Amino acid sequence: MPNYKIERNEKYHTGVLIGFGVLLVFLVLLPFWGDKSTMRLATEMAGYLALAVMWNLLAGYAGVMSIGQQAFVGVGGYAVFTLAGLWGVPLIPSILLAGLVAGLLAIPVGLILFRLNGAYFAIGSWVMAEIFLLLTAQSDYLGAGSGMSFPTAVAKSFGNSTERAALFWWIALAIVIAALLIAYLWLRSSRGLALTAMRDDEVAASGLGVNVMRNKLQVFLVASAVAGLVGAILFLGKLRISPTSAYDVNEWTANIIFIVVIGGLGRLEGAVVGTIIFFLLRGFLADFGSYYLIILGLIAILTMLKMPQGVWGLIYDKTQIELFPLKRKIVN
Amino acid sequence: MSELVNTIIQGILIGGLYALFAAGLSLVFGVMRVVNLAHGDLIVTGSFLAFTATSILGIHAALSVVFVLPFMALLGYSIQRAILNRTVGTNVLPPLLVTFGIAIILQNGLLQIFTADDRKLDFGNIEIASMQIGNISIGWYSILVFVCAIAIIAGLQFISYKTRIGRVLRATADDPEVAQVMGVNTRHTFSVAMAIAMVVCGISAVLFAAWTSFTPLSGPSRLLIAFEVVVIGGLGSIWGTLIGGLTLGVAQAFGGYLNPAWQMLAGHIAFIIILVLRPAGIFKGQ
Amino acid sequence: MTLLQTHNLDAYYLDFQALYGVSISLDAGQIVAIIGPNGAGKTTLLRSLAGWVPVERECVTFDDESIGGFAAEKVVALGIASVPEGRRLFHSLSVEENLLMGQESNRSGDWSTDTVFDLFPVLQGLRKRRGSDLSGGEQQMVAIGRALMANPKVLLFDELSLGLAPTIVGDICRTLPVLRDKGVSMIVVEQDVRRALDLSDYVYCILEGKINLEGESNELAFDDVANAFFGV
Ligand SMILES: Nc1ncnc2c1ncn2[C@@H]1O[C@H](COP(=O)(O)OP(=O)(O)OP(=O)(O)O)[C@@H](O)[C@H]1O
Ligand SMILES: [Mg+2]
Repeated sequence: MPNYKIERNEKYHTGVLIGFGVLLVFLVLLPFWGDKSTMRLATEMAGYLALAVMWNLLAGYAGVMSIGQQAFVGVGGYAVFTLAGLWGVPLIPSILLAGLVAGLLAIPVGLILFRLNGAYFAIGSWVMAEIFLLLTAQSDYLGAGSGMSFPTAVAKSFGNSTERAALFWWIALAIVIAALLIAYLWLRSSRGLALTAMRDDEVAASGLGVNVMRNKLQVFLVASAVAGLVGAILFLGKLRISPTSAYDVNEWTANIIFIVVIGGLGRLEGAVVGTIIFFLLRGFLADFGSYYLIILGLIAILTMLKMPQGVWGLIYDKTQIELFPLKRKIVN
Repeated sequence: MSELVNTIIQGILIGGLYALFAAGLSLVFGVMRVVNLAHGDLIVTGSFLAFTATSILGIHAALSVVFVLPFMALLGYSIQRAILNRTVGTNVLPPLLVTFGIAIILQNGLLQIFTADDRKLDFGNIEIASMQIGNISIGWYSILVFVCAIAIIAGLQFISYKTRIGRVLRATADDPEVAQVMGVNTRHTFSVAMAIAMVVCGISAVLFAAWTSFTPLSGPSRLLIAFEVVVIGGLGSIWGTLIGGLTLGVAQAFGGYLNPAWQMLAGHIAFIIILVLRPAGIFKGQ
Repeated sequence: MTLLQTHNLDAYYLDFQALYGVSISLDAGQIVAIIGPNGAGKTTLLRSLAGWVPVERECVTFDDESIGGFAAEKVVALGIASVPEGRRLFHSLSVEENLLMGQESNRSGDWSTDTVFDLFPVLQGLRKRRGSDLSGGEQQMVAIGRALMANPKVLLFDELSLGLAPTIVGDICRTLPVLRDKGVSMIVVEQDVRRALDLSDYVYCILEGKINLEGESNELAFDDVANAFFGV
């Protein structure tokens, strides 16, 4: 009997690893070479990247097309304002709890929404986010429609504004690394195969013994927890939160979808490339008001129609490099 | 008490309009299997068009349909023909992402042109005139809107079942490949379906624009209403859609009666409850 | 006179090649049978003719015009109508509406719902019945009627007998000469070798995407055809 083995494409593996190492050192040291505004931008980028990685896992791998992730970003933001700001819980536990709350909320939400298929799930998730928004806006404790500011005294206890920027950056970096690692290890494991099988054919996958509902729920839970963490850290950085900014579908979902589509849906690297392209575009188009969203929308539509594999797909076709080796092939 | 009755009647009357929002969405889904995420923003585009036509030409708001409907038909046809047809028959993701992209473009385009100010169409005296039955007063405008909605839904039903284009649409919905082998130009048919849906949207856009004010950002809430109605009513039945519209209208009205800020919330919650109790909608399986 | 021909036709489903250099020819007034085992490429051949599978322009000629790769709706407008594999009625349309769909190609001629009901009287009583609520035989009749409503010069008929009771198959086979007399030439896919030889003037046997035997139906020996069928 011939001997088959499953191998991953690990071209330039060592080079890639060294590259990651250097980059990581460089990023960790950012507060020592970058100024406050660079740190804030980097924090925001990290947050977007973490959201994009998770949305890619949802839509690109598990076939769960959510347009409601802003619900969990908002919950995370409000949770951290309540815990750290109003109740005096220390910073790190507050942020972790914010992620936990968002993740736990995803369970009932998922159980209800997964009764809807494909496109219907998408809008259902949006309805859910609207419910979160309207409920939050009803709560006087959370500042109702006008929202709340993070108490200055508590903010000062985290350090002056530069120290805070550095602290938040490190936390954001940790969140995005965690998101990337989770996604990568998940997809490398047999669960990753199950996800892809589900996305390609739900019925066939469940016939092969894949528990579709449980897999979807797990991914949804993790993605929502990460959204909660991101909401927590990004709104801490802003020191202000309101229902419309916390549950903003354009900010937390449209942008993220565009990032993933332009970078490459169903490829981990796509989220990274997409995030970079997004921030470059936003920088260039900053003077044009909401035109940048129009242009972004156009680029995303064109990508979807003409280049559905995205920018990273194009790079991969040319070079066959995977930064996060996932492709399996059978060798004799 | 009579205030509650009033509220519920008001809910029923606006429910007809909600059914119109949903009719377009469900027509497009029925024929193309595409959930059009730009649906709400297209409705709002229609409202702005009506607003522009009325204010530039100084005509009565109701007359603006003369401009709005052909424009909407053309817009729907071209979007389908030029963009969406390329995504029909693929998996669910491409059409969703593309229509989402269109939604964002429309929304921000309108924002650039019209700013975020509140607008409202003015239908004149009929908006304040009302009919008095005992303690209950019903606005003539609400009645007009409801009658229009029913007439249009009946019209859609007639087109579907009594005309050649309706037959072709239903056949294409069943099996686009075979329809093509029978001689149907399916790309054209899809585009016609979108054009019809957009005409329905145009009518509801004009009627709703006088009912309540709107901004370029009102699209998503229209989309969510349309979607909730479709799910509540169950897919594929136009009368189910009407029931769905009335249910949502009454739920919202009741919520608003309890607390003005709960109006939208009550609608969403009714939707979730029905989703949990009857995933296929209330009209299915009866 | 040759009506419809393929010349060295190759057909693909994405990367998978299903037909290799297939050449067949149909004369006016002829009935040609295509036989071959499951997966041989019979349906693919008919689909290539009907514009359902993309092929090279020059590979298909009809009335001396190259029509390979034309869109399906154009092909039927030229007079090539199909009874698809599995019948594929429009399930939410009534029998009558299904028949009317056959007129979408806008070709003029004698066929109408009434003449179809003359050909298959059972359908008359089922006019209002939905496509999904018919027996297999009734569905096959509707599918044939629907194709005839296009007033075709050529009828592409996939799986004449599959899944049908013998008496129904007999009924349908008896209509073929009637149709031929009305000027409809036919390419019929049929798995039953004996029946294929009986009903046709000329036979092609396909195996793994290639023609491996062809000839006049009355000159071919049954055993030769059967051997070709199984690739012996
Ligand atoms: N849509 C498709 N995509 C990919 N491959 C296909 C498709 N349809 C058919 N094939 C392949 O093409 C080959 C020929 O199929 P085809 O349907 O033409 O065979 P057939 O002779 O009609 O068989 P049957 O008697 O089972 O109907 C088969 O190997 C089949 O697997
Ligand atoms: Mg076949």
